[in-house]
Formats: sequence, C-alpha cells, structure tokens
Amino acid sequence: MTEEFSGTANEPLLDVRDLHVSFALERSTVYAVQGLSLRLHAGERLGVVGESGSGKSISALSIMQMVPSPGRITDGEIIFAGDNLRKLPASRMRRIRGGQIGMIPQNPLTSLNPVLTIEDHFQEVLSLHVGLTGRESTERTVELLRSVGIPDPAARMREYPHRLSGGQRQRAMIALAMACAPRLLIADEPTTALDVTIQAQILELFDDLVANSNLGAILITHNLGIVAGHCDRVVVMYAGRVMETAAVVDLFAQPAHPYTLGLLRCVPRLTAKRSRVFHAIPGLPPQVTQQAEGCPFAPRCERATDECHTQTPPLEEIRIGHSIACWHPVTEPANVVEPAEALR
Amino acid sequence: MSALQARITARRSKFTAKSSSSFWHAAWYRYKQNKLALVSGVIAILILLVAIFAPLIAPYSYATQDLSQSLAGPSLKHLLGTDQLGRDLLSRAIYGARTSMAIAIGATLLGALIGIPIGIAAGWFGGITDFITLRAFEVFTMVPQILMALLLIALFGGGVLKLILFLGVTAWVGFGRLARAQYLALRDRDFVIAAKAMGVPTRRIVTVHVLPSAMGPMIVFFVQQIPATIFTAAGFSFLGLGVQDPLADWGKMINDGEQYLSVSLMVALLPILCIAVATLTFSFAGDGLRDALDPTSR
Amino acid sequence: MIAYLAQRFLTLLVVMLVLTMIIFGLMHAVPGGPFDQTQQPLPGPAMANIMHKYGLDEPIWRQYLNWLWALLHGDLGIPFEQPTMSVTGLIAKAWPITLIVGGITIAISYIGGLAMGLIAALKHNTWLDWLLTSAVSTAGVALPNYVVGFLLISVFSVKLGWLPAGGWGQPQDLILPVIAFSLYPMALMARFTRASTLEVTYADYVRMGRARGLSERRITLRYILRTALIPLITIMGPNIPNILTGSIFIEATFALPGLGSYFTTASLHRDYPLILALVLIVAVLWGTCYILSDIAYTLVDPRVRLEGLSR
Repeated sequence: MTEEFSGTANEPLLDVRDLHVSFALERSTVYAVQGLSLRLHAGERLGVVGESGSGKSISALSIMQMVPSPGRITDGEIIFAGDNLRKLPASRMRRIRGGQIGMIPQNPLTSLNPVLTIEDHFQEVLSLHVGLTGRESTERTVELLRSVGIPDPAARMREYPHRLSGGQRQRAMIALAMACAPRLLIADEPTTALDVTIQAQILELFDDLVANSNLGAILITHNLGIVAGHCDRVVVMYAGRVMETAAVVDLFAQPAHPYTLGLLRCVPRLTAKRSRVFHAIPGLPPQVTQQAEGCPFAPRCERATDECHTQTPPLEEIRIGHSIACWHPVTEPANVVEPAEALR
Repeated sequence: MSALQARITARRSKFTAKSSSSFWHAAWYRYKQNKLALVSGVIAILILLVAIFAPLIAPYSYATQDLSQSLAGPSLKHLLGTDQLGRDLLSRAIYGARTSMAIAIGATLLGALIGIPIGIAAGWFGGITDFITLRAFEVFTMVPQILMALLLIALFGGGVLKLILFLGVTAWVGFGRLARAQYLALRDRDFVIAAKAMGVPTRRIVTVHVLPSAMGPMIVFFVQQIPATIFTAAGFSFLGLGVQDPLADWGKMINDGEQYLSVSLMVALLPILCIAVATLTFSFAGDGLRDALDPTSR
Repeated sequence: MIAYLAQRFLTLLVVMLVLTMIIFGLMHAVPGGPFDQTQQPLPGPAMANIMHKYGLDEPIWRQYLNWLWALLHGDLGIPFEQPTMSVTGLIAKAWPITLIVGGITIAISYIGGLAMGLIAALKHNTWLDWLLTSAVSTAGVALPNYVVGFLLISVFSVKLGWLPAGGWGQPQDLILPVIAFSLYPMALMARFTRASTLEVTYADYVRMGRARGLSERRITLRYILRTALIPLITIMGPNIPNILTGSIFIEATFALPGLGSYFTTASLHRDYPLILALVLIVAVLWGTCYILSDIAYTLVDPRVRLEGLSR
C-alpha cells in the first residue's frame, strides 16, 4: 500500500507544473500541451475548457500516465498526493489508476467491454485495488450501482453492457470509477455523447459525488455553461497553453482574456434580445507543429498587435487567484453572461 | 439558357472536377508512399506490356520446334534453354504472359460485368429481388468456384475463350456481393434521398450519383481478383484441362515440365516463377490500391 | 433458437435441391454421353444396353428423381469408370487421405496464423509487423499452392532428395503437401487475426481498462483477445470444409489419390454419379459448417446470444 497522504488544507491534491506533451510524427512534431500548470485541492471541482484539439484530453491522459504513442511527456512534473507520477514505476502507477484516480469516459457506449457483464467489470477492480472477492465484491457492486441511481442493481449487474441505455452505462462507468474510493476523479467530456435530459442528471450525480466524498475532480468540457454550473475553478486552454485561470465566479464576472470573452459570447442566451447577433470566433484553432513565438490566439484575436505575433505572453496573476496569458487583457466589465444565467 | 444558369453549371463542373481530382490526387500520394506497392505496380504494368507486345519482344515463336535442341540448357541461342520439344523457353514464357493475362483480365471483367449489375439491383431494390439474389449467392458459394469452373471446363472443353467464359461466369458472386453491400449502404444516404426528392430518375441516381462512391472498392476488388484468376486459370492448364498445345501458357508449361523436373529444373521452374511474380505483384499492387483508396482500412 | 436452426436447415435443403438440379442439367446439356469417349466406340445395341443399365435412356427429370430416390436410401450409385465399386465405397477409400492432409493443414495453419496475426497486431507498426503482414501473409495469400508445391519439390525432392516428391503411403509423404496447402489458410488467418485485433486494440474500453489499472496481461487476454477472436469464427469457420474436401491442385501436384483428384478424373470422364456425389459432399459440408459457425458465434458473443433469445 502507498503511505497515506497527509495533506494539509493548503497542500494541493494534484499539482501539475509546466507540463509539456508532444507527438513526434514522421514529418513533424505536434506540441499538444505546452507548459500546463494547474492545482487542485480535495473537495474542489476544476473545469478545463477548450475547443477540440486544445490539449485538454491529452492533459488528462498525461495525469494518468497514459499518453498514447507516439505522444510523450517531454517536461514538467505531476505531483499527486505527494508522489511525482512521472517518476513512479509502472507497477505503482497501475495501483494509482483506478485505485486513487478514477476516470469517467466521454462515450459510455463504447467504454465497457462488450463480452464482460457489468459485475465482471466491478469484480476486476475491486479485487485488484481493494482486495474484495466473492460475496463482498457482489455486495459492494450492488451498493455502488444503487448509489449512482441504477434501479434493481442486483439484476442489472448480471447484464452485458449492450442491454443498458446510454445514461445507465454512464452511471455504471461513474460507479466503476468510484468503486475503489479514489481521491481524484477525471471526467473527460462525460456528457457529450448523451441526450440533453440525461446530461443534467449525470452532472448532478457528479456534483453529489464530489460533495459527499471530498475528492478532487477535473471536469473536461468545451461547454462553458457546464463549467458555470458544476465547477469551482476553471482553466481555459488554447492550442496546448493555458490562456486564463480563475475562480468560476470571477471568470464569468470579469473575463480578462479575449479568447475567454469570445468563448463566453458563443454561449447562447435565452434572455438575449432577438436582435443580438449570435457570436462565433472567426477562424480555426491551430495544429501546433512548431514552437513559434507569439500568442497562439493572435491570428484570431481582434485585439492583437505586432507584439502578440512575436512574443509569447507569460501566464501572470492579475488578481488573487486569477491569471491570464495576454498582452492586452480585457479591462472593461464584460457583462456577457452571468453564471446563473448560463445554467438555465 | 440564361447567364445565371450558365454560371451555375460552370461553377458546378468546376467544383466536382476539383473535388474528385483531389481525391484521386490524395490516393495517388498515399499509393506512392507504399514502396512495395509502387514497385509491384510497376512490375505488374511491365507484365501487361510484355503480354501486349509479346510478338515484338519474343525472340522465337511459341510454337517453333527444334527437336535436336530438346531440353537444352541456357545458351546464347536460347537464353533460358528449351523445353522437351526444343521450343525456346523465354519465348514461351513471354507468350505465356499473353495467354495468362488475357484469361485473367478477361474472366475477371466478365465476372464484374455479370456480378455488379445483379448486386446493384439486389442492394438497390431490396425485397424479393434481394431475396432471390441472396439465395443465388448461396447456391454458387456452396460449391467453390474452382470446382464449378473445373466441372464446366471438363464437360464443355478448354481453350482460352472457354476458360474466360467459365471462370467469368463462376466469378460473378464476389462482385455481386460487393456491389450489393455497397448499394445497400449508400441507398439511404442523404445525397441519394436528396436526388430522389428532386425527381432525378432512378437510372441516373444509380449510375451518376451512387456509382462514383461505390467505385473505389470495386476497383480494388477487381485488381485483387486478377491474381486469384491467374492462379486458377494456370491451375487448370497445369491439370491439362485449360489451354491446349501448341499455345503457350504458364500453367501448361508446368504441365509440360513436370515430368522433366529431374532432367531440367528450368522447364518447370520458369513458369512457376512467372506465376509467382505475377500473382505477387498484382496482390501487392491491389493491397496498395486498397490502402490508398480507403486509408481507414489499415 | 430451434426455430432459427430449423429454418436454416430448410433453406439449406432447398438450396441443395436447386444446386443438384443445376449440376444435373448441366451434365446432360453436353452433347454426347459418358460412354462416347471410351477406347473403342461401342456398337449400337451394346450402347443401348449400357445406357439402359444406367438409366440414361430415360428423360432427364426421371433420371433426377431416380437419383434423388436412391440418395434417400443412402445409395449414391455406381461409378461409370469403376463399375466394380460403389460410389460410397470409392469415397470411403479416397476421403480419408484428403481428411488427413486437410486436418493437419487446419491444425497447423489456424494455430500458426493466429499466432502470427497476434504478434503482428501487438507489435503494430514495427518491422516485425511489416514482415509478418506484408511479406509473409500477402505472399501466402497470393502464391498459388501448386506453385509453392513445385518450389518445395524442386528444392527438397529434386535438389536435396530429402523428401518424396509425391505419392501416398508413408508418413513423410505428408510433409510437403501439408506445407504447401497450409500457406494460404495460414496467411488468411494471420491477416484476419491482425485486423480484428488491431480494431480492438484502440477501442475505448481497452483504454478505460488501462485507466482502471488492469495489468497488460489482463488487458491483452480479457479485453483484446476475447473480443478480437469472435469475428474469426464466422470468417474462418466456412473455410474448414474447403480444406477438408482437399485441393485439386495440391492432390495433382503431389499425386495424392484423394477426393480432389477423383473430382478431376470424374469431371473429365463425365462420371455422373461420382460428380454428383462429390458436389453433394462439398455442399453439405459447406452448409453445415456455415450453420455451425453461426451457432458458435451466438454462443461466444453475448451481444448476439441475448438478441437471438429475446426475439
């Protein structure tokens, strides 16, 4: 067993420092993550927001030490509960995966082994990480499935995955992630593959779990509306870099990065006047194949100057707990979307 | 015809020309990346050229006998030696390419011409047409193609034209199945429904709208069928059922040389190597084509 | 399940009837009869006599019904070429030879191909994968078995003199035919195994299994192999009858007196009873194997099994 982590309130559960991940392809190298830093405390929900290709999913896989080949973590530290995960031997890392860190997948329909029953899945992790077997394992499985709101769990767990609906499968995936009482939960776009009505239920379940189990949670999403309702802090990523990080309330009240502002404008508002134009950020996010100087967002930014194209802005704190990487931060109050409004 | 209409037509033709050429361009780029396929493709084309221009390339006729030179080894006069009747082996191998390729391509083409329309009808119309076609597939898969063709050739006789005919009519099932699957999958696609909604006649939808999308896999299957047909056709001649003397055919040459294996290895080995090279290069080229046309297949 | 099987067998029966009718019709569509090509032309009365003896002077539909009726009584008739034997007896003599060669071939090629395909998939994008996939398995699929056979004979029989070039009787007669025969199914197996394993290797549930800390061994055996091997049943199952009924080319190359060589001679001599019997064997075996592999599939894959039962 790993020694019990005796963190104080100030010491973060997860501390990622200056993480770099790149994919060496035949002709070029894709710099997927460039200098990601983030901190997460127990009981805290951190949202990671970005368009597809911004490096948010790769960051999650990096924490799990599961970056797919030919990708590689080239620099940085990932301190989890006092351990530097990059330096951990494979066998100990395996015990952390599923034992200490649980993961909720994007697509529950394809994330369960089709030839194993639901119970088989639980049996595997319970015996591996907690040492539960036989009746104890069965009882625990029933209890877990009930806690995520699956009706008649004793019968459902003997089913094969294809017999469950998408929402039920995601509930089962969440129960599976929680099976060994992890300290960190990573949810990678957990609702994109689900119906809207199911989405709300799943996110509610997510909130309950974090509140009741005092675990740290990372919620990866491209939807700022979800962040507004279900996260405490937020990291906005673009082209593998952190653009802005702040408490959710702060970010929605005073977004300082033009990119964040752009994202906020994209959130449709029910209360908006008809005449208001629905906004979109012009252009596409770049595939970063070279470590060019300059702000990666500059080509799409309406505030960009020559400086933005030549010098990379560092991530700097502008208020307590609110940092941005931008030469020309937005200073006027945005008043674009209130968090409460985005929720509706 | 108004100016506006003309502009739309011009624009549309420009658009389709551009999009389809970029598809083939990308496919050619991917094909070039695959060195094995590239080399095989070149050799396959060379074999075809040799087959076409055989009379110009071959030093002798395939039938010229010189019994005094029977089973001679390689010499300046006969570069690869002679067979049991004193015929020049190199010339016979070159003419053999002609026979083998004619049968292989002819039979495959015949199979495609029979199978594809049937498969399209089954996949497109479904219902009773599809049911009957599927049962027909079953009847024809129950007895392997080789046995069926063998039976036909044994009953009705061999020769180049009959080989093409019998191998062709027994090869249709593969093309039929492929075309059926393609059209079944494409039938309900949005662009087809849109064409139907606009009142485009069925025959035009099937040919102009759907066929280009279904073409890729069919081309690949066609190329992949060629080595299989070379194999079977030469096999029949080797059994003594296919091409008859004095015509040269690789399978026939194995049949001739088989008895003289201990005297002259070259007599049997040359046609064997020819068949091996031809089937291998066409296979590698076909696989390369498959990967190039459908990058997700690998 | 039972209704499904009954329906499958019924369809098989109908298809068989149609098939035998086609063959029957084909054989009789050819001008001339089986005894036209005998050494000396038979005199008129003798010909009529022999035609009558075999029932060949009756109308075709009558002959077909006679044949069916006899078949129902387990009688496949007398081969024209060897009137002293029954067709059943001839097959009983020839088939064991084909079965031995085919059985060993299946064992070697399926196991070898499975191993090759797995190695290639697990070492995806390495030189080993390239060698096994491009070189060995494509060559195995493309090279005609008789070409391989002759190459083997040239080297091991003619040049080295280690093994017999053909014939039947001693154990070493088996070695070369089995190698030549194995290459194609082995390459096919390797190809399909690799493809279906690769498809699973990058599946979401495999990644999620890793995210739960499962060992690589467990991932490979329980997550990758178990699902990857299922489609192989439907692909490789129907291939078994083809191998068990032998290859006419292999048997000709190595002078094996098996089913394949009888099919060749029977076709050449228009030996109707023998041809029909051989076609029947091939078709019945094919049909049964097809249904069996369907059943095996439903037994192994829970998705299919439950669907089948609930509907």
